[in-house]
Amino acid sequence: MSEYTAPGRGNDQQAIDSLLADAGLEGSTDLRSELLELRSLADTAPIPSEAVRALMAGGAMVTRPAAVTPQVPAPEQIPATDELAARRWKKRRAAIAGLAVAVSLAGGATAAAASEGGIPGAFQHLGAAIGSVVSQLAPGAGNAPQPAAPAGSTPEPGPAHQDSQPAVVSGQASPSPADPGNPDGTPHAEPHPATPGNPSQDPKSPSHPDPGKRVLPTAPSLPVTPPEIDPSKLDPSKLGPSDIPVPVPSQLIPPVPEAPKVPAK
Amino acid sequence: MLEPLADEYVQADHDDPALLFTAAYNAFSGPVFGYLKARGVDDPEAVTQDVFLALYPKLETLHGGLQGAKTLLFTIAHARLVDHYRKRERTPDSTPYEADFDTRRSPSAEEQAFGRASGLGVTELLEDLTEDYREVLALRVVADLSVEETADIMGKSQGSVKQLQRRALGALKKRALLRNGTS
Repeated sequence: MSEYTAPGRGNDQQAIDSLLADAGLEGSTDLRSELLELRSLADTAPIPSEAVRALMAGGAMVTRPAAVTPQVPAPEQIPATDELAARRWKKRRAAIAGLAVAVSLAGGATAAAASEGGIPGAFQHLGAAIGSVVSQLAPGAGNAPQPAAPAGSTPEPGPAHQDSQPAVVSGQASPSPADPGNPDGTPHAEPHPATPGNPSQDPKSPSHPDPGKRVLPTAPSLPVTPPEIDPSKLDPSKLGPSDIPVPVPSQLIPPVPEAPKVPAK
Repeated sequence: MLEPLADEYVQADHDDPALLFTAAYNAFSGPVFGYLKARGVDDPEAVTQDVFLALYPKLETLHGGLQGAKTLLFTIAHARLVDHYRKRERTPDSTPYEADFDTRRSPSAEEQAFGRASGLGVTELLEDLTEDYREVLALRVVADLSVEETADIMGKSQGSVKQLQRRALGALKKRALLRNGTS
């Protein structure tokens, strides 16, 4: 049983009578009985719980040592405090993380702007660094002069494709500039202008080595004047008729007959 | 069974909070429980324990002995009651159907007899009253607080409390006449 009858207050009826007298309702027996019934709610007291009993004095009621007594309400208060602190820390953590990200981005942008070549230069350096790292990690694909393109990710063209290539690309094969990402001049990253058969050295060459889909080089435009004659030094007045024979038509076209004259009559 | 401590003993040793706490529990746990029950708290027994647990840390700075503890106890109980009603307003009522709580069914004679004996009938009477009427009746009748203490807890003047008490008794009388005439 979790309840017991509390010690009576003794003067219930007197208290109710005085209450009714204050309100001018002395003769109301129905109300008096209702109030006595309402007052009887206080006669039942609950049995103290373990936490309450631990705080009480007396041998029968104290089930724990007295030294533990002040610590009993602490476990009920600590979770509320911790929860509140955790909630506050959760709100602060998002703000701190956002601030840290913004500061790091601003620092990176400042460093990139202050470096040589501005922000594009920084990107170039970054791409060169990535390219050098990739080329060192994959030594078999070290011929790739473009630092941003990972050489190991695309399949290398076979020797059969390289054999059919020089006739097409030899006119445009030019030595590529030195690799900016490899300043120490490692042999696998240096350009090889003497081997025009390697398609990866030409930056303008298509990455796909299929001959059927290769772009044909445009034919060089022929000059109107020979290269030994400077057109700007020619005087038009001194130019004579050319020695080149002018083609003459071999067949003469008969003239158009004139209008027939009508004889006078 | 708890052994109630005499007021003189408590007054002589009021420096010991454990003694004062024990005396306060023995003297006022019943009124606090009845006050919470009259106000319709869902679990009055657990809330009574919470009220006394909240009282203990404040006993160090408490003045007035057992009577001061009584006022403080009902102040805490009133605050817990307000919290209870606010919480109940925010949370939807999800009580499953139980035949015992169905107001459409008529109680048997046995239920009526045991219900009136345990004081359930008067709580139903209080439910028809307004909030202030229920509060002033619970504090004045069940908790046995004075007009001054009731005014302090409710945050009203003593004149307002007397006026409220008079009107609440009048309203309760009407309800009691109505119930006794129909039952």
